[in-house]
Amino acid sequence: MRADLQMLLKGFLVLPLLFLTSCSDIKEVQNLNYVTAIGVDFKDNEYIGYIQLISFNSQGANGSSGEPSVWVSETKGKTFDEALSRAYNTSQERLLWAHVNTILVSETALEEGFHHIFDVLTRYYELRLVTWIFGTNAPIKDVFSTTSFFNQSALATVLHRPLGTYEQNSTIRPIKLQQFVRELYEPALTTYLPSIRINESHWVHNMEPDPKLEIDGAFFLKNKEFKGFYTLEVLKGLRWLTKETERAGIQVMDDEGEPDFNIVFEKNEVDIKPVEGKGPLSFDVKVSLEGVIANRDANKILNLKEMEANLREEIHKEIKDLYKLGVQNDTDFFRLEHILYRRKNKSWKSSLGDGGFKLSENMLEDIDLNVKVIHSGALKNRTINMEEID
Amino acid sequence: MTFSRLQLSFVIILFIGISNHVLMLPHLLFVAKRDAWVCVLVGYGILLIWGMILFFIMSRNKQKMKLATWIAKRAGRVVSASIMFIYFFHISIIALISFYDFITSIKIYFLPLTPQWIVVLPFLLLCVWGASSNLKTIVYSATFLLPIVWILGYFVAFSTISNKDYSYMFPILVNGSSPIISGITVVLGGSVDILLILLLQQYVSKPFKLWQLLLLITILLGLILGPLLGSIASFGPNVAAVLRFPAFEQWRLVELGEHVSHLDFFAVFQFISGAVIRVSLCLYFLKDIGFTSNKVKSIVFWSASTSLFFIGILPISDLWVQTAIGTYFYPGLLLIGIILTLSLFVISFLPQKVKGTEAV
Repeated sequence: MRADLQMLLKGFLVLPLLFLTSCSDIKEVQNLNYVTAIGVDFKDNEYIGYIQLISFNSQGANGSSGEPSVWVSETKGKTFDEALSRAYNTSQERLLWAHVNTILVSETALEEGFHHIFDVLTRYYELRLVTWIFGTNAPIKDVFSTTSFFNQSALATVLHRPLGTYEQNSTIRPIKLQQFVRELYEPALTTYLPSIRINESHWVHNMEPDPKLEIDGAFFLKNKEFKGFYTLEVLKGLRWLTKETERAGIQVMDDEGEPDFNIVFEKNEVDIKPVEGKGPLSFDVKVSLEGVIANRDANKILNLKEMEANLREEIHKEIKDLYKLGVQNDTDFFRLEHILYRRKNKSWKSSLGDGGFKLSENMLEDIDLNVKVIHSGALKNRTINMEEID
Repeated sequence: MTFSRLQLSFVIILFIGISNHVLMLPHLLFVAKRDAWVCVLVGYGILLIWGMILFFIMSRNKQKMKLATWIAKRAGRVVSASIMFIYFFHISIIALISFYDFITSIKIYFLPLTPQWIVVLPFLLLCVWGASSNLKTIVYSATFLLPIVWILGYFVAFSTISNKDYSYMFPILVNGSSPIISGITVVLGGSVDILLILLLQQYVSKPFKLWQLLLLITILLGLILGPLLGSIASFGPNVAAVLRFPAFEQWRLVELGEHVSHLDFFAVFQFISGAVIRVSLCLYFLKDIGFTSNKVKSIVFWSASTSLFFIGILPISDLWVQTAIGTYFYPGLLLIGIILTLSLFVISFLPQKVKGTEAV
């Protein structure tokens, strides 16, 4: 009987545990302001922090009633942390950082060094490393205030959901903070952030110009060094040597320089390794691509072998052009130094002795391109020639 | 009362797993960075050999005597008391550190605003309750909790696969031998806990076979290797080395599609399961280890529990604790492990005195 009583007593002792959880840490959802994006700029020796808050009125799907509303705060401070903290002064209600979706860093802040920003973004427990991260040259206030279509919330933009467009047209792979810091703090590795800007010319809404966000290039960084901004056009060769590439198209010209056909590649495999043996340092590049015909403008090159040869030539040229630019600007677009660091660490170490790893023209001699055109879509490998109709 | 080998293995896996998973990783990564996993492999090799020695010691106790009695019968009461004192010291330290580490993780990630005692008291009550009756409570909770903890572990491992790039494991051994040696010290130091299996011998229904013991060691080392490789592959060695809870950080990467994320509360379940079993078993050992009088047992038990309460509630700086753990804890544990193994090994060669002394 006494044992039963004891059990009962213990039971009563334990019961409150179920209700005690987080009684003072509880946050009322309606009393919180959800930060959706954080921006950093650096001007006149000061950090400028930006915070994006969006209204939940337009959180719904297409055609929800309200106009999308976005608020952006701008605060300054000696450090990034100080700048962001000033936003508390005017935030009215508790700011919740747990749902930050994207980080936007200005070029000047990148030049100043990302390591000043990393610590703030990682240490505080509400922030997570799975946020996207971008660079920009545009005013961050404007970027954060640019919304998407159909009165959808500001979350429906490439800034918050970059994968959708990347899957359709891959050039600059979007990157999450976790992957970015993994690469930034890795010795001898050159990484890059996609660059966001506002495009004012592509769209009109009810005949009024409607600005939209676009990815227009990338910022390159190697550890503490800022390596500069490059446009999409210049970086075309990058996608062929990027593992993440999902879908990439290329136009092939005929001998006279007129457009002939266009291939979209949907599968790619990349392998770059340093060449074994003595002699000057060089790298073997192996790329396998599988694609389909996306468009045929003329019927000039029809033989599969010839098509593939022409494709190889075009792709080869894109890669080579970017590589040459890298040699000129001392930017290791294809991460050759890091490949050396991983695979032949001794050679890499000895290169440090003579002033560090230097790219040179002939390091990327051998590019082995294996290109396959798998099908030609709903049409045969011909287009209808207007002259030939009968 | 005895339990099956499988049941006790569950207890040991939770007991050591929480320390291998959570406590050890930040220190191992800090000293050895990318080479950390090599240290685990080398440590594994050493521990396999050590496992054979341990098995030999265990096999010399066919009668399933209590460790204190077994030593006393062979080497006398003084030796027995000294060895039990070392065990006592070891268990007290790991109990304090595990309790403290659990409270710290809750304070950092989950309940930063909640008064400390509200976190400490219920958790301590659970541990005390688990330890206050016989071993059954601990064993049965472990057999219930471990499968769930295990499934959650696989869940976090597989759901973060897209965030991981295992090529970050290389290059290895490019920074000389000192990180390797420090790393192996941490791995071996943390694994000294396996010696506590000797304190459980009187509870096991059939003695462990050699392969079972080696399998247990393999699983325990796998528990270091899994989250270790995971955090190197997710964050790179340099970022992983500065994270306070590198294994837990992987939980914060979990995203299922666009709408499901923030699943790290599951980790709390894992944390609590491990920590409750670890602290309860420590408390249980402390009173069970060799004291005969019930009064002494309960004094030891309640003073240990009170110390835990104060460790949880006092404003001790984690910065200081982390430095101390890195500098003294693991090398100290290793030393304890070597001393215990050597003395027990020697004792197991001594003949059993016919006129056995009573248990200490």
